[in-house]
Amino acid sequence: MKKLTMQQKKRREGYAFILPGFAYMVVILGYPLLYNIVLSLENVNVKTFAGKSYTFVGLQNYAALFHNATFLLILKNTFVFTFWCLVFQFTIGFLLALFFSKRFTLAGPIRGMILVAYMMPMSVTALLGKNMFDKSSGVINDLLLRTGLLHARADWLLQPGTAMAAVIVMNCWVGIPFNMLLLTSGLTGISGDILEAAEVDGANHWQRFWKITVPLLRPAIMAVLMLGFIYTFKAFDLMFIMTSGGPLNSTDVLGTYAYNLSFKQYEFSMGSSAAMVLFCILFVIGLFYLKMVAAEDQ
Amino acid sequence: MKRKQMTALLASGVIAASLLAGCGAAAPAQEGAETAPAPAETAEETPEAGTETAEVSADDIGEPNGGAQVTLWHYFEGEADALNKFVKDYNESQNEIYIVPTFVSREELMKQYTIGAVSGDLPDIGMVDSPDMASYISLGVFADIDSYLQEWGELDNFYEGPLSSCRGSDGHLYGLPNNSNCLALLCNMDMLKEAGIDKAPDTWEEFEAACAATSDPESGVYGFAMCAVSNEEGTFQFIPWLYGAGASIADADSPEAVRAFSFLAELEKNGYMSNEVVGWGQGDALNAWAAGKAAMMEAGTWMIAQNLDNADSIKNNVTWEYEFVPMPSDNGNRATVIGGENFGVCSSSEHVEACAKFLMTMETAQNNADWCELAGKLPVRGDAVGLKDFWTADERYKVFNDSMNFAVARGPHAQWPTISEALWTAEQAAILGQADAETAAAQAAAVIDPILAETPLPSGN
Amino acid sequence: MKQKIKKGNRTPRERRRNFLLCLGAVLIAVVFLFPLYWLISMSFKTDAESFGKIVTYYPHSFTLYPWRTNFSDHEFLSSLKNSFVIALLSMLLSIGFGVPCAYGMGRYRVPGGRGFMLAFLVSQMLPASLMLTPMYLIFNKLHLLGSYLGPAIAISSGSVPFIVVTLRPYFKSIPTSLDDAARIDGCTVLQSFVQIMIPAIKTGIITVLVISFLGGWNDLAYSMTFNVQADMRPLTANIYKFQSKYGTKWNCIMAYGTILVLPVVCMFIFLQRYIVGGMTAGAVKE
Repeated sequence: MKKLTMQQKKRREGYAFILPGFAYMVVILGYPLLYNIVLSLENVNVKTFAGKSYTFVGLQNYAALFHNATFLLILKNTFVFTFWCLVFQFTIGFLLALFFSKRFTLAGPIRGMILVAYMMPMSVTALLGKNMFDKSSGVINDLLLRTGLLHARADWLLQPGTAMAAVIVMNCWVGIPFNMLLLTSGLTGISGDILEAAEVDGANHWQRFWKITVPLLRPAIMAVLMLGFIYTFKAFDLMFIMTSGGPLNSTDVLGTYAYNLSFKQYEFSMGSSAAMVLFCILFVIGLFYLKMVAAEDQ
Repeated sequence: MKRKQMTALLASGVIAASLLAGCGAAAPAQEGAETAPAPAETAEETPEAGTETAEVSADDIGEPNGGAQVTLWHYFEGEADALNKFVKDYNESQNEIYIVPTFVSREELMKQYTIGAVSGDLPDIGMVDSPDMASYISLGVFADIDSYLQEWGELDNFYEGPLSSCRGSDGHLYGLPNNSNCLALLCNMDMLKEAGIDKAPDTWEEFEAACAATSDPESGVYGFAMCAVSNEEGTFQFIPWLYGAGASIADADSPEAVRAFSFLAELEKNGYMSNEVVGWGQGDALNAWAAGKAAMMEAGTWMIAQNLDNADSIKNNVTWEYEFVPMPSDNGNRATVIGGENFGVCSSSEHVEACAKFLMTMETAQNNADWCELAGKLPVRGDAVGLKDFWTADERYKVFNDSMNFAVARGPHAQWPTISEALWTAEQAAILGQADAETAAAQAAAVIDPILAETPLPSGN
Repeated sequence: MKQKIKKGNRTPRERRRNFLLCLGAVLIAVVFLFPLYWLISMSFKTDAESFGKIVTYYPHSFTLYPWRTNFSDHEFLSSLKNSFVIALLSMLLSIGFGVPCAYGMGRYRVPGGRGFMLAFLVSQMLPASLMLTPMYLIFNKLHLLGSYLGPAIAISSGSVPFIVVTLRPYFKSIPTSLDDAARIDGCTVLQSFVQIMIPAIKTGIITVLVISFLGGWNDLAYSMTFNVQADMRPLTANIYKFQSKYGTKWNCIMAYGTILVLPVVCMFIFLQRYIVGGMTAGAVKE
């Protein structure tokens, strides 16, 4: 038997760690992915399904989607929702992670309490949002009226713009603790000695943050942003329960739209096509992320 | 320090354990086999946790009678016990099949039918909301039981509206209606009288005047509450207005249809109806009425038994005198809408004939009358109404029962969900002022007309 | 090593700083916990009060009825057990497949490494709702419908990639000196992974443990779709009971939400101190 070189041995070890997980994912998700791709290229719907009269239609479903004003609105909604959620949940989550990494008496307990928001099932959060943003019996309007910030009840979930804002607020309520948690784990990984050494060398807070903390956290930050993007972009439960995508599709996003096409209108192929559009957008973002990860590995 | 070491140990222990489990491909399956009961496919399915946790026990539905086990999916909540009782009697009366009912919430049930259509994994007997039935028939969820039903010879006694919702595009019957309901106007007479109106409104003009007299938006009180939410319930509540104006779904952009859209939009604009209706389900609208926030509302038959007479619901809140009247008429047109549930036998069942027999037993005149009295709904056959004075003696039920004479069926149409979405979207746009009535109506017609051009609605709609 | 600030010998300046930081933290907590307070206070209100014309900031007519409604459910205990089993099973599967994978991706340079990474990310990119039908078809073939394993596998398909993406940077950041030390001590590869690497990134591990457990605990779609039998359903399935054609029962929903979140909060409060501990730096230094 030939003796393995060190490099070959290392590779084998690496594969031994990676392959079981990889194979597991391929087994579970390979078929569903193929299933959706094939379905999106056919015309399966309530009329053609039972009689098996559906055929291969190529990219027709995709073309139809991009000529559909509702779909374009939904695409826009998805981006608007994702953008604002990411901006708020990342910046606030990061600020809170930094704040609670300072040493003071209540740092631990209060950080723990804030995380509770993240632990709630999205279905309960969505219902809570529906209740709090209710026009007449909601606590948000009541608070705003009492504090004089508003003079008349706002419509919130009843008008397109404000409904989107309300959905973003509820999503951030969950997303901020999530970002904070992941970044906190990252921050605790940064050796205090490095920061102390920098302090001794005369670096101020600002310099230490930008020159040490951020570069060291960069991989964690990128991972958080990437995951945040994926989860936010394919949001479903929140809108499905809090607004049903309404009023007038203003909070409908790709996730809910694809579901409605497939399970409410029985337009199975169109639903899969919409899901594949969502998939392709995320795929491009994923490639971009990998490029950055690779650049950093060099 | 000790504690920290402990957690480290704990964490690595958990991981080591799971690593071991993850080593061989067979390991996870074994792990599952220990905790999970065998897939439910045999007749004697015994849940591992014991019978006390199972949803139904032999006490509820009778001992196994030696017949083949068939499953029945339903979303009856208040009536679940009565259904179990009926199933028990049936199980004890014959030994061809042994029926086991399972509650699956409505939203979930629709998803399961859709997935079941693809996988072929369906219950034997399934309940379905009447407007959805046509789609499921088209998807092949339900079996054609037309020949058994024709042989039965009792179909002539059924009302055409509910029965039509069980028909496929081939004209065959795929199930039987179980109960019906419709909508009427529920009035808080104390509020109306206080505003100087002694009689519940009968026409759109009177209705509008009553709204004007009772509304006080400043203090959150409105003349009228309805449901215009973005799902089937919204369409259900809109149809009485659309058809009341003399329009129909087939001409959703006619001047009459525009009048229906603009009438509701005006109600909102004048402060007679809150714009919150676009977020309200029918139960939410009722809650608003019961909280004194609305003088009148569009109410369903089921609300009498489920809510108004139910102490766990709003019975004790409603301290005022109330009255049901038929939906108001416009220029002599009066309309309401048919709701209700059907039962069908699923196409994957191996006991189609035996299950069809069960449906026929369930819907004999006597059983249908008993069931609908108990559930507070309307019978689906004319001879059932005659068996009891329940629907004529109680003034409230009488209004609904009489309203069935001018009630409109939704569909049946395989693409009803798409038609319905177009309707509620247009209604919301009009109510919220996002589009004027003409534009809203045109948008609805733009979706609906091509669908109906391909497959028209059955005549009479 | 960091010296702990002892309460006794703080300078007045330190004390003022501590006070101001605490004050800030309390303000932040008030904002973030208000929805939670709202949830809990609603759960003690009567039907009428929870849908009243007037917004009340605490239950004026206190009632336990929403809680009784939840607990009197004769399936409550079995649902609770189901939730735990599904969450635990999915956590074990996710950790078992995810952590070694993250380790391999973080510390070994293998051909096709980026391809693996892409595959893991890709698996997160389809909306879960559209995975239901194809997964149902697979589980139907494998006789996994109506079992705990079906939902657990489906849920873990979301957690495994999450673990790989978040833990990879952690494993990467462990200095190679630690591997070498382990090898000199005679550790096998597996031993060094289990005994040295995993403890070294304990914070990260606990975080993914918690998050993958929560993924299973909070799941609704998979469990409900694959397990129709009432006695196989998790607690989350109950939410449909209070939202029906008969109106939304806010108080019952809120009590239900509180019940769902309580066990997890307890578990988390216990684990929280370890996350804050952050011993990583110390372990590496030796």
